Amino acid sequence: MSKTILIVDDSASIRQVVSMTLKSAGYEVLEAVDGKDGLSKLDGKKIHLIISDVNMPNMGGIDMVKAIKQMPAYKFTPIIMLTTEASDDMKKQGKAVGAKAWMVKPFKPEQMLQAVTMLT
Amino acid sequence: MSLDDVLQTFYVEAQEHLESMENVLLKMDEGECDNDMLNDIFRSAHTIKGSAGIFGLDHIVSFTHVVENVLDRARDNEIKIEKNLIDVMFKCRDHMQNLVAVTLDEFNGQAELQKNDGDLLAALAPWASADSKQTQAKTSTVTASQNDNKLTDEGDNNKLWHISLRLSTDCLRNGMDPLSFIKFLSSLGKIKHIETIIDAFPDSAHFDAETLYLAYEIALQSDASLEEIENTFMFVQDDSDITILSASAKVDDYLALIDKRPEDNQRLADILVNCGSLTRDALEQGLISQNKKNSTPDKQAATDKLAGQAVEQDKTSESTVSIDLTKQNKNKSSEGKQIRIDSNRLDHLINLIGELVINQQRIELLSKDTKNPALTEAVDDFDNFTNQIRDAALSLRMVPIGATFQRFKRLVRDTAQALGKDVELIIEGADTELDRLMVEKLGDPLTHIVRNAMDHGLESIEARQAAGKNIKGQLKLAAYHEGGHIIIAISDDGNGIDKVRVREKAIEKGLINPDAQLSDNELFHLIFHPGFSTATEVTNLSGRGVGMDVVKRNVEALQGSIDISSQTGVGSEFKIRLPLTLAIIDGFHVEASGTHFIIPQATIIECINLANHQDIKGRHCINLRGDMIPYLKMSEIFKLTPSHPQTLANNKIPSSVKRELVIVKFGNDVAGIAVDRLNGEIQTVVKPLGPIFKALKGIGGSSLLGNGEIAFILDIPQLIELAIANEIVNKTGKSKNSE
Repeated sequence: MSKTILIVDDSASIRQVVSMTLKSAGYEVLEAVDGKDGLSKLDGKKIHLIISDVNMPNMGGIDMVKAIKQMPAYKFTPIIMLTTEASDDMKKQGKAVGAKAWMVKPFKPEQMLQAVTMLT
Repeated sequence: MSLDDVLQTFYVEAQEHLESMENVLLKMDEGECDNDMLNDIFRSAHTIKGSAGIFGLDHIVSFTHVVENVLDRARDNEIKIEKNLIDVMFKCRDHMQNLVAVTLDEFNGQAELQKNDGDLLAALAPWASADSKQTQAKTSTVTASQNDNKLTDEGDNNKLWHISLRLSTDCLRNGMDPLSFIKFLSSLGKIKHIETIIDAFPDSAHFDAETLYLAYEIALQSDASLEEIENTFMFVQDDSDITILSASAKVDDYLALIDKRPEDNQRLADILVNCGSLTRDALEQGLISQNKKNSTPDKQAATDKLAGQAVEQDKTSESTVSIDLTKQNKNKSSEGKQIRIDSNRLDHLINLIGELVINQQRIELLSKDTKNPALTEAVDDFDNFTNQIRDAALSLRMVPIGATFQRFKRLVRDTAQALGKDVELIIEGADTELDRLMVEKLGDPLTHIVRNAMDHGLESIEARQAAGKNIKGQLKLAAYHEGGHIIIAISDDGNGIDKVRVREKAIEKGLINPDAQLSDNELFHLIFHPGFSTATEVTNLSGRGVGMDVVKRNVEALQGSIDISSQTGVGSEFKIRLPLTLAIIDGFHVEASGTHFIIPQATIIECINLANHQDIKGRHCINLRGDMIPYLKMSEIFKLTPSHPQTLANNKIPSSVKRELVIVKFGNDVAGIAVDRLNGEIQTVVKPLGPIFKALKGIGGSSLLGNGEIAFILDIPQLIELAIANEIVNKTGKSKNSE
């Protein structure tokens, strides 16, 4: 069975690149436009990995991760956060809430795929 | 889906973010500024940069990076949003728009764009942090050192690396298995030796299955670069202690590593020797030389200090998180409820519904002939639902005028700056919805009117002061519904239209006789004449006299009209009156000489019997309750002769008797349209006429009737103009005709 990855990003182009790359590598991909949407997409489904942007409207990545870490079913789901080199503060915030994996934007799709294979 | 498709998404997305940036900047320009706005504008720049990076659009990334950095500093209250910064940011936004429009290659080929890039970056410099420059410097040194590495790598294939892993104790808890890293390492090369250190294991009472107690010392033979090996641990490197030593590392480096680790020094040294990373001889020598220098106390103090800082920072980040959370809860919006549709699909749907409406009418006609009550009832229901579907589909195409109005904020701001005037733009009725097609075509006419108002209408600061007015001029854009129409009003509190000047100019241009008696309204409408301009000086904003006639034509193309009211010293108002939709109109079906016509319902005042009214002095003009109403005979205007025998038979009525007259009104003008027969109300889908009929006056489109025949939709404004012009010709006997 193919593994399912949830990608949360408010930028449609990023979502499409990530999902295109992952799908071509045989993953199932769910997309969400912000933290709130991301939480609603979990919906008890088996998710093997979550990739999330940090800065999003409605609910940012940090708050979403916080919420996910409270959910027994997803407590251990690895989370990759997407960030830019400018947001070292964000990394610290992310650490505080439990996301430990980071990818610096802009990243190459292959680079991300490598990370994903490692974590799933 | 290909990368090109995604690139398309990027362009649309970037456009949206640029618009949002502009809106925020405009608000800032008005003195508004809060965290939400700063967050929004930062996110816009951030997203554009992030996405551009993925597509390798480096020209966008490098410029936006600095913009983002400045915005980030503003967000962190390191710098203040001030007037100068807003001005520069506006230019940066515009520049970003230009950058997004070109590919990297195009950018490299355009010197002007590159110069602009440099100029703006220099302009931003006072606000950009030393940080951003540092980051750039840092990255460049990093790449440099990596290159060095690669150079040495080449000469030394399959070299030995030593990796000392002290992964975070939370590693397992975060869903990461140390084994996966080790597996990945083995994909980079060959693991020569691995030692697992279990010193940290507690007794069983304190053992926590979710905590990682294991540490590793790994000898890896690989020709991978340092960067590749480091990348293996990119997800854990932040809170893990990972040391990677290359074959060229000195004994001192190993000794430092041994010192750093909590394990017993001698034991760790043994392990390193076991791994083959370090020879016993080298170790002994190193230990001797190290004993000579002693420098621990300083270091210890420094580490303590660092640890203290880290705790501090953790605290601040947590408080920021909680603030963010409350804020985000506040603006839970319904954003997720909207979907995007390709406008072509929407137009296709509207077209199909148009066909449905025609078919429905045909069925209605046929069912009436059968006189079957059950069928008629069913068809009535059908009629009802068809109308509902039509309305629902049309509402899909309705968009609020607000976005169009918003765009003028920028125009007004820039124009005011260029003219040295102080102007405030007030927007009312931004929620008023208009057909998307109309909104698109309104941009140009509105721009002309707004520019004219700013250039000619609103006075300079000095003149306003002298007149005792508030020095800040007011320009108002308003939209509202009025009797089945949408009104868009552009008003200013400037000096009003100079009637004397307009009159002089019109006489000079030969548009009116020097002794002509004109009402204010007639006078104002003269400004719509091609080539008419009262501006003595042509500025680059307006005054070339090519605006107002275009405005009028554009508005009429939308089946709309313009009214002007103006009062000297108080201000002027331009009122654009538009139909609710362009696609389907409620019309009135009439017939003349066997040809079908449709008159837009909204223009009709009443229908009268022409036979009951006498023409005034033989002219096409009647007296209706005291008003002079000129009228047009359809058959004369379009030179119709009944063509086929059937219509000939139906049309045996001599042309002089029993004519119906439909009185129509558009704006303030009233005229009559004489036809042979009134067929009643009809809902009809407007099919535009092809370009070859463009020169045809008086017909705005065509439509299919329920019975399959073609009907022409009359362009009432043009016809009224024609009727009035004909009347003037007849009255004065002058040969000056309408165009």
